[in-house]
Amino acid sequence: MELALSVQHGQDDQLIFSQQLGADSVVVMVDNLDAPTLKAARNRVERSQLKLAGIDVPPAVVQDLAGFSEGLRHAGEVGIRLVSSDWRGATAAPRPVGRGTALVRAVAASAPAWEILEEFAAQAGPVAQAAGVRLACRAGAGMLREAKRLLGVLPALDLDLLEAGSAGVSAEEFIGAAGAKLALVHACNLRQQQQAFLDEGEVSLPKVMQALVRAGFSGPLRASLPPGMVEDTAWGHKGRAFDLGYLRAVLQVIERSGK
Amino acid sequence: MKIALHASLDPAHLQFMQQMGLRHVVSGVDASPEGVVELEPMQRQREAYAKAGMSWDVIENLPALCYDKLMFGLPGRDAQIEKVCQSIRNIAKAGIEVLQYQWMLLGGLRTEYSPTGRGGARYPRFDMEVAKRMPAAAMDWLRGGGPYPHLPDRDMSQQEVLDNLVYFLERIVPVAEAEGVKVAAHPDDAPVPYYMGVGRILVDEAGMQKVIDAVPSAHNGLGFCMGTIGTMDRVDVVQAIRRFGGQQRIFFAHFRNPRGQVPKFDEVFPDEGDIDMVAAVRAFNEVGFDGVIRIDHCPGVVGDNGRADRSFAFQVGYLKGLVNAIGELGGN
Repeated sequence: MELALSVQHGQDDQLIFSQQLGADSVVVMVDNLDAPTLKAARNRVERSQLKLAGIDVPPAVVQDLAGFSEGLRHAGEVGIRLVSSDWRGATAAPRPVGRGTALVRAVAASAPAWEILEEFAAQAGPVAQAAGVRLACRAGAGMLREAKRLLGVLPALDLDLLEAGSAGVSAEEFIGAAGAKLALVHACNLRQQQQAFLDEGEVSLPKVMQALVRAGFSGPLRASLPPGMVEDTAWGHKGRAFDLGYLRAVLQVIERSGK
Repeated sequence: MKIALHASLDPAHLQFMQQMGLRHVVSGVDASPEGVVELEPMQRQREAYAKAGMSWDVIENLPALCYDKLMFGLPGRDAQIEKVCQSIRNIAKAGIEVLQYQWMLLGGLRTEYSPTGRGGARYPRFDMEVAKRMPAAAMDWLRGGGPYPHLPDRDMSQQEVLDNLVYFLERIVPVAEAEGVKVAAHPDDAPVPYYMGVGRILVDEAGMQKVIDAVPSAHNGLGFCMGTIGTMDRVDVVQAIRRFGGQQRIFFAHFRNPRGQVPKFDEVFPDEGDIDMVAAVRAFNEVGFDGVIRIDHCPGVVGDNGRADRSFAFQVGYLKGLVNAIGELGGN
């Protein structure tokens, strides 16, 4: 398992910061899939001596299915092997109701758009396969509740622990069911349907990570957008540092315990 | 164990700690011009922490000018003893349980903040070969504020430095016992046996044991700095936790991971140093350590503020991860 951070394309200090914190890899967030953007993203990561785990695109990019498919081909051409798209639906604005009045967002309920997802997977899936790209989808709580259907539709899953927790789905069981379809995991936590810090919520990160290790998961476990902390940046330097430190420690305990 | 940071009264810093789920703080204190740690300022400070939901458990450290004549064996040391005892009474009245002090006659030693760390992070470094070329400048953590508390004007043997410490402890520990305050000696950082001709005594396990044995008391023990002890020549920190924690003489701990030992070492991120931090936390659990462990020095990272919030956030998250994972997955 790789411990990863998500970085914004063009924000190069985030690459330096990721390296300093000891991230094994990064996932670059891009707002389009044109070839120059993807090539630049790849080059910047490699020249920072980091590993590019994949790229992340917002929902708007996916809506143009023809353009997205073309982007998958570009990704394959420049050697990007994993593309994740966001299917959670609308997210709520953060509010200062977290620990220490940290900014946290409520988990938004949205009806699963099964027909759109199925069409997307049917069209983009083969394109991605032909391009040598693994296509993962970050599903919302509504879809995660129907695990069998979801895993039947998706080429690969980007499992968001916040959405899983919100859906009342056991992440440990879901990891077992997903098997090789699990491509990425978002590390996050929740408490009473609100985002929480990794160490305080209803999800046991140690138990989830233990399940990932036991399942032989070798992909990126990435710290999600953290709660907003005092005097922090929009990207969340302090929160991401806290998260990566937490994840690294948990992984070391698991590895050194042989569990 | 109770995870803490060295806290200022800046509301933003207190909020930062609240957000990371911390409930314990450590702070230094000022002494009056007469050399006494006064009660009223401590009470005000304690109240401010309490309003933020935090408990002030440890004073770190007794200001060196409260006991410099004692360390150097100078005239006036007995007058300082009286003032230190009054300070201990005030600390007890303020409800603070642990007083750490540093019997480092020449302060903490560093020679460089080297941008050679992971991703160009700046690591505090000590290199004896470099220190020999800049002995006075390397004192007091390389802060540039001048020699700490002052330069020696003669050689002092390790025995003389130990005798001075025993003289100090024999007179203050009974007061600390009566008042319910634990006095904790921080080891010599860097743990070299001599510097500028002056002995340093808490530089190995035997030296720390001598200090404990000199005045046997449940109120005389150690500020167990993992970073300093980890840089002692051929010392295993995990074994040292078991040894001194088993005697219930660890009153306070510093969480830090170095790479290398004297004569040269770097202070690196906690996940990449020489100490097995997983085993260390397990050892603290084994000996029943329930005191405060403070996140210590940290590497400099890109874009950080003057308090090094980003770097400290990583370390707090790391220690919390160790504690929670060991607790939730078992092991001890």
